[in-house]
Amino acid sequence: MLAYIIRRLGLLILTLVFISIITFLVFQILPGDPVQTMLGPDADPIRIKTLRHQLGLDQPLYIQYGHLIEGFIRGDLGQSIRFSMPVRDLIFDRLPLTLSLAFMSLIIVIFVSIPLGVIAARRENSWGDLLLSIFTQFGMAIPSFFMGMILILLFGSVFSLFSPGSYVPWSEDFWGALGSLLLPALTIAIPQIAVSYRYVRNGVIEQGQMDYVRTARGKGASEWKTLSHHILRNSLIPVLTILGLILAEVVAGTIVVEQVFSLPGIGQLLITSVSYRDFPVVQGLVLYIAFVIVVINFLVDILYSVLDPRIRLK
Amino acid sequence: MNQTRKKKNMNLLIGTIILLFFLCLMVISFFYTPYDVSKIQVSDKLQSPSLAHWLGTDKFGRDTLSRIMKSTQTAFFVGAVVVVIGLVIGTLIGGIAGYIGGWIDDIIMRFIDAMMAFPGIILAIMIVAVFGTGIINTSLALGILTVPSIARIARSGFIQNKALDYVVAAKAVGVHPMKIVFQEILPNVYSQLLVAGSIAFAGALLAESALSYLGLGVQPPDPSLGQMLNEAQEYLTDDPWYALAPGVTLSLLILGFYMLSNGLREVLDHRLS
Amino acid sequence: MRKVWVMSVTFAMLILLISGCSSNGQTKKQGEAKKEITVRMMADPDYLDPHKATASLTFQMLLNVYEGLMKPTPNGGVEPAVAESDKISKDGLTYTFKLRKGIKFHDGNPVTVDDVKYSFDRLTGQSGGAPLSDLSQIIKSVKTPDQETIVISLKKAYSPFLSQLTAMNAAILEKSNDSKQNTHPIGTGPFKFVEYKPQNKLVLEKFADYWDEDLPYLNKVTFSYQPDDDAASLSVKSGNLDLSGVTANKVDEVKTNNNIIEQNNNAVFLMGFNNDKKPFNDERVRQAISYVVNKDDVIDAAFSGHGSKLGSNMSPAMGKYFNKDLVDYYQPNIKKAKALLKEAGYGNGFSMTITVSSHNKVYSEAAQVIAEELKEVGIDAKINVIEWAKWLDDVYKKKNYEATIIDFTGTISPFEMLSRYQTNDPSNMMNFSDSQFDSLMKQAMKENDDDQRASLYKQAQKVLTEKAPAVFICDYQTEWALNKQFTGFKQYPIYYLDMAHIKPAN
Repeated sequence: MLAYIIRRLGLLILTLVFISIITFLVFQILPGDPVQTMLGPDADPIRIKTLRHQLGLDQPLYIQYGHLIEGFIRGDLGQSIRFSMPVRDLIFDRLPLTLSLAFMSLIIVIFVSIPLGVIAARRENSWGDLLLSIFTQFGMAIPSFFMGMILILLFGSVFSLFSPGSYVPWSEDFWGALGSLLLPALTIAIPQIAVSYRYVRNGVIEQGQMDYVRTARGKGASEWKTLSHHILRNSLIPVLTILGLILAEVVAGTIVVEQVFSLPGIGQLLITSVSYRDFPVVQGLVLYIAFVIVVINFLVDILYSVLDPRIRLK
Repeated sequence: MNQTRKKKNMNLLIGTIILLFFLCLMVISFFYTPYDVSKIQVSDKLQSPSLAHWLGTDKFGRDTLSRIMKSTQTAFFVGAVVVVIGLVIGTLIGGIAGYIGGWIDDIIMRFIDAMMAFPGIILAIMIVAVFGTGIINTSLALGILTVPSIARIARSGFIQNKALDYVVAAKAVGVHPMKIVFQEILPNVYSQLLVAGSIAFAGALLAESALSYLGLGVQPPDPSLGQMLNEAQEYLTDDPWYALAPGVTLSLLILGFYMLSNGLREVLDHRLS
Repeated sequence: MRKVWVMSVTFAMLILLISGCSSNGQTKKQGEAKKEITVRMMADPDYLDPHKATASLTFQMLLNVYEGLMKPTPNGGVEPAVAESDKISKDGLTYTFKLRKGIKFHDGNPVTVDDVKYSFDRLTGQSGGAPLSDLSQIIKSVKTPDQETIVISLKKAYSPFLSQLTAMNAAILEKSNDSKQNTHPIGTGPFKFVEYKPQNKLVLEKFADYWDEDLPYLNKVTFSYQPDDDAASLSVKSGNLDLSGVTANKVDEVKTNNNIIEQNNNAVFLMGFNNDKKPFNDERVRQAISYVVNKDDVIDAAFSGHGSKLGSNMSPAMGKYFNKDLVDYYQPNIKKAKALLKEAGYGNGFSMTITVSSHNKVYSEAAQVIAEELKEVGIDAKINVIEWAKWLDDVYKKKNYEATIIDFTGTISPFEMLSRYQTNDPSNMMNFSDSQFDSLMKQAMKENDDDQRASLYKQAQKVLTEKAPAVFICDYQTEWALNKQFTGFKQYPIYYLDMAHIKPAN
């Protein structure tokens, strides 16, 4: 087991190195200059030249990259070009929002998909089951930004319950923060509910046909007890691992959704930084996101191999 | 059992009906649209649905129905190119990794892991920034993004089949590796790839619309559903149908491909069991 | 299941802890008379250091924090700010300023002539660093003969010089704050800087020691980040934003609790040609296209009808410098356009590409309308939409394009607005060259009399109209929605939200 984990960790680092190199190579050929992009077409050419020099942008990109990697090893993520701020501060400032968004989405996924899955499994092949299946697939099919637009239209304009872009941090106003994050979280959650729902439904159906369930029923256990003590407990094991994958999807989903709801999180920072050619920030963020996703995949794999020892042999 | 059969048909049936409908719409749009898709008539702008304009007009006074018909061409084109690129290159890479194995497999898989851990939309934005926007470039960028997931499926298919008795036997008697791949392994993997392909089609439509929503996908005057949504967004509260028409079309198209892929998978599972 | 619960709760508490640590724990106060205002910030400032900043949206906010020797007035002129008075020598080479008595920086220190000299040295690269401004090509020396006098000598007579002395071009900064200016801005304006969080907010607070004792009226100004027009109008409607530009189609929606103020932006929205490239090196082709483009349609499609048509590179917001006779010089006239094209040898039309940036929809919207109209004279125009960074690189810097659509934001100096059409100007992105225009601009630069100057600028505008280096389309308007609880909005011909004069309505 230990050897397996060590090998996986080695591969994890290799993956991150690849990601860093991909980002660097893409930036090597990406047209556009960060200072000119920031200052715009009315900028004084003299000012652009001086600022480029001050930022070290007149050096070849591989030297800039070298400095960055050197900094990474020391634990320093470097300085943002667009925001004249340490990349670390920029990321940490946004982390609470993106994390709470991801977490809220995950909670919604769990608390909606499990009951739905159970209900659908109990009434397998009824019209309700079929409708739910089409409904959840429809949830997956709606592009997240279109879903966001619909939710904004409904809750912002028709019911006036929500004002997009009025995000307040948790520490300032708990209910305000909850309110401003609920719709975005829902937008991210809806397509994932469909995924999780299907696993729960199939798991419950499968377990329901097992002998031990029949035995439990035969011993006179109530329907609720059978469900909660026997079926659910066993059918949720594969769901637990799929939640890891869902979490990875959720992290990626925040990027577009933050854009739709104008939330100042990691995703919005990433898109801004790419369009402003802010290489240090993009490099830092991409590595950070990839790290999270790779680690989640890693944990899921470990979990799998704990639950199913046969996998370790591979 | 009878009941399950009935349900299994549902996904395939509904998916196929939806897709056939849009395919017909696309074919018709090559020969006929109610109005000229690019004809600008500012005086007619932002009309609600009426007999003259079934789905209303956009902010330039162009007929929304005509534009939606035309944009199904874009959608099917982008999707088809993406799926072809993804399937060909993905199967090739995944096949090599799976069939040869060893350190080549390790390197390829790490690269694929890296690509998959990379936020897809960001990679797409960067590729588009390098090569430019437009239908062709968008399709290429999204095609590249599809490669890793298909490569993974192809790889695991190859690994499974490689170990099967008849392949091992063929190898032992010295059948040419190419022959083994094309005659023995691929026919067994292809059904899984078919499912992956139809999911990739849906994924391509989602990604294209997201790129166009950010203003970096298919560009005017080529009509695309994502770009129509992007244009309509600022009129969401006053003229909701303007955004709803392309939005619902897009969602239905994607739904069609999801249902098709689920239907196909169920048929496959059924056949296997 | 219980484990999931425990994990969830722990995780939730962790997040609360993280977010709790990372902010200052302020709480909102409500109930008092509205002396705090929330204003929309469309984009982040490029720099907080005014000597490095360029973007007009930055100065829209920061002109409340910084002042130059002069400051802009609503009618497009300048008036003394850090200086109390100014005197110009007859030959136009020497400018003498008296420092305003008792003026202080936000940290409480008095402004000295040394600070003024330091500010100019920093801009012109005299203090060791590289120059940050093209003022370095105009200013010969800055001298401080006594503790309240500053004498600036110029290399050559330069009539627009005073208008270059506002905080937009030459803010006065404190010498001791040199290295911290970008993170801890200190100026002399009516509001002092409190905090800035990228993509979130920029907060200003009343400066109690401001030299104009009546100002400002408000205690606090928060610029709140909102790049999306749609979301902004919803926030205006719900009262989360007190002052914001709203798109024209949203005006009716927000009218109930807001006053709408329509402002000309002093911008020039145009389709520029690469005047070096065939067939656009032939002025007849450029004129023909000018006869094809229907400006009203473009304004309708891209700005919902809210724009003033232009005939040259100057907006009516520039008052007496604006040549109003040129607006209808090119009326849409397909016959004339076809004749001109035939004369130039393009009777059967040609194909061209309009390259526009994706950062704002208006460019591609205008391009779609124009491309459709060009079909009428046989010109097949393709639209190529690229990223803003790529546009600046390909089109603006490398001039690798045929036609493009862009807007130039206005300044208070008519000279600066026209200068990019001079043959050797570094920002001459259209490769325009005309000897008559060049000589008119040279004359204007030397001319001391303002009325004479205005007449020269008008002639220069006429040359631009006739030679048509671009199709000058419009100056678009901003619809400002100001919460009815406030009043005192002042319009300037530059991007400047003057928060000092805003006061509670009662």
